[in-house]
Amino acid sequence: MGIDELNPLRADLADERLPEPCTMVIFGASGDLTKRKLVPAIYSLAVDRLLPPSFAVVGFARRPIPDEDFRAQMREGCDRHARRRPVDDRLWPSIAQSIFYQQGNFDDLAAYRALGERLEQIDEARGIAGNRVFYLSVPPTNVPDILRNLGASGLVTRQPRDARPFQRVIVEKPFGVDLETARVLNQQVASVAEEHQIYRIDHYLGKETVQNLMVLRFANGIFEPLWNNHFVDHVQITGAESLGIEGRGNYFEQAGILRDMVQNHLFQIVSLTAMEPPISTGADDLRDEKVKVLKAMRPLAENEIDENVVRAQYTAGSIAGKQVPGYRAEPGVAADSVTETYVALRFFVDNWRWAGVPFYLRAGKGMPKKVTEVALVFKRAPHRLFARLGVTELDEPNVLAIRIQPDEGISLRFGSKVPGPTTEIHPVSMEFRYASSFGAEPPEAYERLLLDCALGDASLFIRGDEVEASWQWIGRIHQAWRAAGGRSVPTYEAGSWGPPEADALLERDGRRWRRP
Amino acid sequence: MTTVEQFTSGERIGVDVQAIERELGSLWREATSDGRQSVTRACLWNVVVRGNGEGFDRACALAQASVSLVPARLLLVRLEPAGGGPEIETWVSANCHLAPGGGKLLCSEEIWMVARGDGARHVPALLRALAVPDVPICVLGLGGVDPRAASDLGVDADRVVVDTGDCEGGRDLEALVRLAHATRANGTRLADLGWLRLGPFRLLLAALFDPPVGAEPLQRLSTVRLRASRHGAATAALLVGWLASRLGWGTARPRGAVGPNGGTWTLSHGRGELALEIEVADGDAGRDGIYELAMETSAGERFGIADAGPRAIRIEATGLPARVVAAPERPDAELLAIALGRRGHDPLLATALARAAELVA
Repeated sequence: MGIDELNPLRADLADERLPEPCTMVIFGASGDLTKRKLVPAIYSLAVDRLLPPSFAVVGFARRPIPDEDFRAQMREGCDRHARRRPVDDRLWPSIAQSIFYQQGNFDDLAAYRALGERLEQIDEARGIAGNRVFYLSVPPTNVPDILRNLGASGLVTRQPRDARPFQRVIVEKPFGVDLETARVLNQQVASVAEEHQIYRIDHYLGKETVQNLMVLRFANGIFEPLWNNHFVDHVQITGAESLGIEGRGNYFEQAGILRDMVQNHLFQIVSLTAMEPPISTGADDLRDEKVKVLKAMRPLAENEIDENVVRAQYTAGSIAGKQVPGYRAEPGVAADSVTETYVALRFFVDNWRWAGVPFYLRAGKGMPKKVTEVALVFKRAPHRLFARLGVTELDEPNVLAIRIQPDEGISLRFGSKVPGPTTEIHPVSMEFRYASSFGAEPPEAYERLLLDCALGDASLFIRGDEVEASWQWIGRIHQAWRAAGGRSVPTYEAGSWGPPEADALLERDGRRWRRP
Repeated sequence: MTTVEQFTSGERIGVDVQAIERELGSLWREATSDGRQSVTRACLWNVVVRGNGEGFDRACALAQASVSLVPARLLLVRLEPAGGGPEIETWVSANCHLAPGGGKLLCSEEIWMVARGDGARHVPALLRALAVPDVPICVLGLGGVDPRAASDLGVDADRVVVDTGDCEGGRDLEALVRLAHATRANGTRLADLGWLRLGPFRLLLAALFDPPVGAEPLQRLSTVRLRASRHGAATAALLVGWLASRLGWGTARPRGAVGPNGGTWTLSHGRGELALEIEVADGDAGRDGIYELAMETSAGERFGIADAGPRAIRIEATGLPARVVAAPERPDAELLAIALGRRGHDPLLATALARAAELVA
């Protein structure tokens, strides 16, 4: 039974989305994410009155930090990073009194028992009925220890849906580094909690435009009839980062762009773009449809990899007026590294809707600008009426582009008559920009996701089978690359849109990349 | 300063009433053609303000402040007595601000009209012509409730926005009930800034009855006391109306005199009767106008929410630790933006309003 049914004063206040009183425990609280994203998101939610009066945050990490010092650090983080910054001095004291810190080692069971006692004290002092969210903001190597000890200490137990008090666990990506490790992680999670208690977070899903993909498709009558192989020629998905690897050489050498961006963020966008309408917006209905797309992606056989996948590495170049070093010159990167900083894929989604429609996906570091977008490129008009008049025809196809970041919005390109006595046709763009139409800045992705978890809404979180399906598809590429050994990879100059091989991937099909 | 610069900086440009759209089009073309500044005109609503006096001025200022949150074409019509000028005079101006992220200047349009004497008869046709097509129309009225706010305009309003924080007791609340009936009959949605202002208060109150306390004590209520400021009297009645509709309270029977300073009532509910007291007093209780709501049960349990100074509310409840929580107050421009959104259509408002009207009838 939902809280709205238990409490008549809650009924019809659902729009307000105020969660039940609960405590959020952040493991790895001394890390950057807590200060830059998590607590600033909680602060902004509090300012927007989206948190219940009895809400508490408990940071948990190895370093001993007094509550007051931890609060001061969080205040500084909010002042610098919160959407609702600077911090309002009149509000902060009541928010600060709900923030606590508990020292402990992740592998020490006694520390979890001490945490449990502290949580009970906080429950009593703040009138919280034992509802808890455990946020694992830690490196993947710490996750097994934390899950095991959360289970052993009884802080997390297997619960039926709608159990009260609730226990939920948020797990940060990466969810494994391949199919095997993803399965192991899913098993570890399943050993202490039910799948519905697990919230695998990919902040991309918290972005307004990603959510708007569903609204655009399923709340409007005009797009969905066109959203299929009858009208769409091909789909392009771009995830470009202007930054290089920013000192994360050791990490990136192990990951590469395929793991860092494609398996998670961009495959989520593929799923939302290609999925069938879910029967409801409920978490499982939505995720059922998403996982079907991942399972429908045609696997690439080993001898098809070279033909459909391009990997590359950036060399020294210039981005936004600044000279940047090549990837191999970055600290922590091997001089003979073959790790990809760019990848372009060509694949098909083998189902009724998308049969025969190629999806082209590219992701890269060291690109000219930061941009993530999905573009549906439509087939041309079946008959070139105006060409017979000897006038300039529209060479560019119609494109519906959904810009996910930055400058979030949607544009539709179509041909229009140029004013004048001749029939000249020129492509024009009809633009919708979030910032222009709605004025206010959208909430940060973490605000939305933390609130959803506290409300028990897992729609924007990733389910275990989605993770495994995406690794299964990606795994074949990694396998082929491993088999190729130290074969050199193509290069592209930092500040360019990728290697010529990626252009050739589309040119072979008589297409070309959009300039995002 | 050129005419275009005057226009985009917010100055009013006098235009011929016959040529408002043409003049606007020309000004925008000029404003966007010189390449000095990227200018975008945006419009999600037509917002109509009509009237005179202090309420009209406040409504105009509020509408102007809200366009940075919800871009809108403002149609501001001042009604004046005859004499001292032509029957109708019109001006246009732009209300511009930098879009989030900077760079682009985002502009809403304002069309000002002064209708003198019989000039008011031209207003409905002008509004019909000047409302941006395919964009919804909102009528904003502050400074007391006019039950004919929408019908007299001669346009099909999609939403009427009022503020019970402006109401002067029972008569205005009854007028609001009549307005609610009228708007419901023609499909117009009614939004109340006072009701939206109550939102956080209602949520805090509701949260007191989440587990572990649970909703059971609500069935045992024996006394409900509410203290409000003068400007919050109508909003207080709305709050009680909401409680009565949610908790199934019966008709309120006055136990004594009911007047501008409040009153006492008896109401039936599931397990007996409860005493309701509303006290209206002078003083400052923030924009929502509520000082305190205290509820007691027949078992002696107490639940209370009280004003605790600027941006703070004190919560006391049996079974929960007493504490002061942050309660940031939304500016009215934000409330108007909410009123123009999905939450501006709240079916609970109509039921709360109907029950509130019983108290003041």
